[in-house]
Amino acid sequence: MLVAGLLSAANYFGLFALANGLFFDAVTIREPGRRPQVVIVEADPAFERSGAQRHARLAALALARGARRVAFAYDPATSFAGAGIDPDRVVVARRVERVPGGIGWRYAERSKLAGATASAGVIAGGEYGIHRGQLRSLPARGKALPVFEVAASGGVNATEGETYLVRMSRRQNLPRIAASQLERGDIDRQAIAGLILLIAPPAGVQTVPLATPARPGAANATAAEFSAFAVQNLATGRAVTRLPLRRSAILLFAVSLLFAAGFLRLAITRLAMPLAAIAAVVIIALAVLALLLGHVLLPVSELALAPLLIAPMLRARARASAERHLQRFVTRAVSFSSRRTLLRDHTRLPGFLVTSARLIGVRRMLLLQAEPDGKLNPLAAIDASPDDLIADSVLRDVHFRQARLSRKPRDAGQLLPGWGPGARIVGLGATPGATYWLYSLSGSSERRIGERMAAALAFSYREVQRWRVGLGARAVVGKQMKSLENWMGSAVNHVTDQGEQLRQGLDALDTAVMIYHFIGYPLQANERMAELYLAAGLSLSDTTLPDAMERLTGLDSDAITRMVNHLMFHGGEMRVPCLPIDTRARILRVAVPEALAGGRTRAIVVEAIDITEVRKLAELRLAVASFIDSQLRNDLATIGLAASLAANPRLEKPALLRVIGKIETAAHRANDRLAEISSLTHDDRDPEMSESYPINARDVLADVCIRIKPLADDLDVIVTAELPALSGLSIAAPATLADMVEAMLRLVVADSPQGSAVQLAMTEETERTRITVHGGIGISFERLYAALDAPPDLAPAHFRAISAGMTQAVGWGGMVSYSSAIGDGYRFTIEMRRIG
Amino acid sequence: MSKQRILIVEDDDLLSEVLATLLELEGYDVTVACDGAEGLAETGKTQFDLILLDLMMPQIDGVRFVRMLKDRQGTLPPVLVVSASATGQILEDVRAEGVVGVMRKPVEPALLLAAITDALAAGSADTP
Repeated sequence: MLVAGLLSAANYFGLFALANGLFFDAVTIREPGRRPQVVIVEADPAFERSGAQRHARLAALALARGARRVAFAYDPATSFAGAGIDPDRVVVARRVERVPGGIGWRYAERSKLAGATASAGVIAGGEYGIHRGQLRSLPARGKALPVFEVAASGGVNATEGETYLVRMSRRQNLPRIAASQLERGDIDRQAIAGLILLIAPPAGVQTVPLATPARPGAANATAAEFSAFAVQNLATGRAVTRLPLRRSAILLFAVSLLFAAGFLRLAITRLAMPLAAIAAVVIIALAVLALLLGHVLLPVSELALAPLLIAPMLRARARASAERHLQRFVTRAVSFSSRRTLLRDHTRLPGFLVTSARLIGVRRMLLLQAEPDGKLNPLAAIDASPDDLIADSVLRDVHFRQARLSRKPRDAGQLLPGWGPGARIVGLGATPGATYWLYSLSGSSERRIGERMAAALAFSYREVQRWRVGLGARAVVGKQMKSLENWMGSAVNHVTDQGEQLRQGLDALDTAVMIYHFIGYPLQANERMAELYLAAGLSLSDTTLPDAMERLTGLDSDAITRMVNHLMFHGGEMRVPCLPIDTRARILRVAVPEALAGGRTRAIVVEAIDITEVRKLAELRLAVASFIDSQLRNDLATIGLAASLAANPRLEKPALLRVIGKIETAAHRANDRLAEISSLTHDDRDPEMSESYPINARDVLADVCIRIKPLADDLDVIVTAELPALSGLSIAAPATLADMVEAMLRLVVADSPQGSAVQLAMTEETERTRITVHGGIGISFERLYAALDAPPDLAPAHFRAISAGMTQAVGWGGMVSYSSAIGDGYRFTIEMRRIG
Repeated sequence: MSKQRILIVEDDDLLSEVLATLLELEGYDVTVACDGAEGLAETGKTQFDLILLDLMMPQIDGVRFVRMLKDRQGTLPPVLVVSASATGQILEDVRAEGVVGVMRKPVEPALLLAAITDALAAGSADTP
């Protein structure tokens, strides 16, 4: 909009008039010539000497020879009256002047002109010295004065004040003859028939030469020639008009918006400028067509400039947006991390280091911090204590000083004589006191990788410490500290080496994602993962990766350590089924995008992939297969036995016919069952039915009983489940059914006196399966009705689940009914369609 | 010699009808019950020499039928299970209850008749 506004203003003030004019010239001077409509007649000396009535005589002669009109480009100051001439067909250009003290124009002096049409002999001013425009008329008191060319072409009554542009093609032929030649009759009659004769001024009449598009650098065209081209344009209807300002503005806005919208839709920042250039070329081509075919000069410079101006602006905007997006991510990450007790309570950092050290195969370690008085304070240890250090304090100080000065792990065999070969020491910074990490890796075949990873771990520890101190100092001294940009930059460097990669990982994936830093503490989690952690009773800020995996997957810690160790050493990913945390089924994916040992990645990505839908599909397939299996076995058994019977010669004819009838019926029934199953497996099922399929309701209820047992035990209530040993297949959505029955049971169990019983029963009839839940003290029916009818956001959770189940059950062809009375308890009944 | 009595407990009426015709042709006295509840009622009225039992039935399923019959009579008459669901845990449960045989649908008529003959013979031998 801004660009369109600016360009419209430029168009209004004519800033691009020269460029647009040159465009006009470039196109029109190359046009092919048209059939001449004008003949230039030069008032040669012989003619000038041929008497006072020569003009009237010439006009009469020309008209008699078929000329359409005779137009004098100057005022001959003579009368054409009495020569038998139609005054409308003789046009004379008269000088004009502005009305003194008034508005408009008038003819300059009294003239002897009579018997002809007067017109204003005026040439519009040039544009930057080039004459390509001409006026149609001049404003005057009363009727506007027609300009000479308009009158000569027949438009005497033209009142339009606008200018028009004159095409002056180099290939346009305008014949020239001398007036005396015409007088002598030395011309073919057909040469002037139907044409306009433009009588150029004689040599004595002073005219100013003009620079025109044909020769912009030289003023070598006469006014009569310019007029002749103008008349030719007007007579052929090919005079060009400029697009009015308002329309130009509308067009500029439209083109700008169109391009901006297209650009934003394509969102190809990299190709912005090439696309803009292509758009400009297309615009110029369209402008050429408009000029050639529509005789309209568009504000081509402004239009072509629009995409060239918009593209970089949009590109800058897109980049700014991406920057803002990244900044938001980083801010979030920093906020997340700085909220972490890790960065406020640095005492947790050693714990994370211990976890990571175990994962990379550290057998023994000691994390020591120097107190101001020189005493070494152990912060964390694995199978080690400060007593393991050599007693010689001088040698000890030498080792610690060297460790402080060097960032690389150094041999610490002398410092820790009891640890055997491979002991290392590395300084972890001096905040708040100098910290040293002494460690020894297990002697595995991957020791070298372990060494590199230990060094990387030490580096990360120092980074975290430095950043934490930076944050703390910023909070304390505020403006005196680093600029926001530096702070953010430091945060970006710390939080991730590949911020964009992580951002994409979080924002693009539609799964629960958690990112752990290499050192073992949680960096970032999206909302889905935060919800999962909450449901699993895990703390987002404090839970280490192995602890989270243990809780989410149920694997033992040794297996997890081996698994993560392998990932850290070799990269790749591993997938482990999640324990049931809520109603969803998940696979936990732990991935290291690039081997930590070899690459620069400092992140371990944990993703909980929801496989509920996949599992549902598998259940549906299983259910369908089970249904086909059990039902078709009956049909096949019937057909097989009946076929055997039919072959038995002892069977009498009436019985034989009955048996054959049974075969036919069984075959039809098998077909019908296949058709029913087919409708269950199609993708275009009724959405209401989409969650439902043939299920074994008994198994669903058995699972619910397991889920409800802890609550019943806590409240000392017995749940008696009368379930068939095996059930047929009923149509329902198993998850919804389970949630609904569980909610009913929780409601009733919570309402039951200590030591009482709650009944859960399932009975099957030929075409219906019925589930009943009964028990509790109960409430009035009206209250139960109101609770189940309440809007979801107002209803308590149990009632909400029951109400949702009631609604969905209708979609399966089922029904839920309920009753309650104080003292009699609750009674819920779920009925489902049984198909076999 | 009186005909041997066989009770068919089967909810698929087409199959039970064909089965009854086959067994009657072989000279047995056949009674049909369409589910477990009706089967229990028939066993209360008549002493059957063999029960052909389906497992997956409405009202009272086959496993429950066997348990209830055992509870009521103290001993279980010869029961030959003929079911499409005779697999896995169900199979183990029903065997544990003491049925004489389990056949999975669809059954070969000759094999079925042979199994019936064997079950009846075993039942006769056990009868004091």
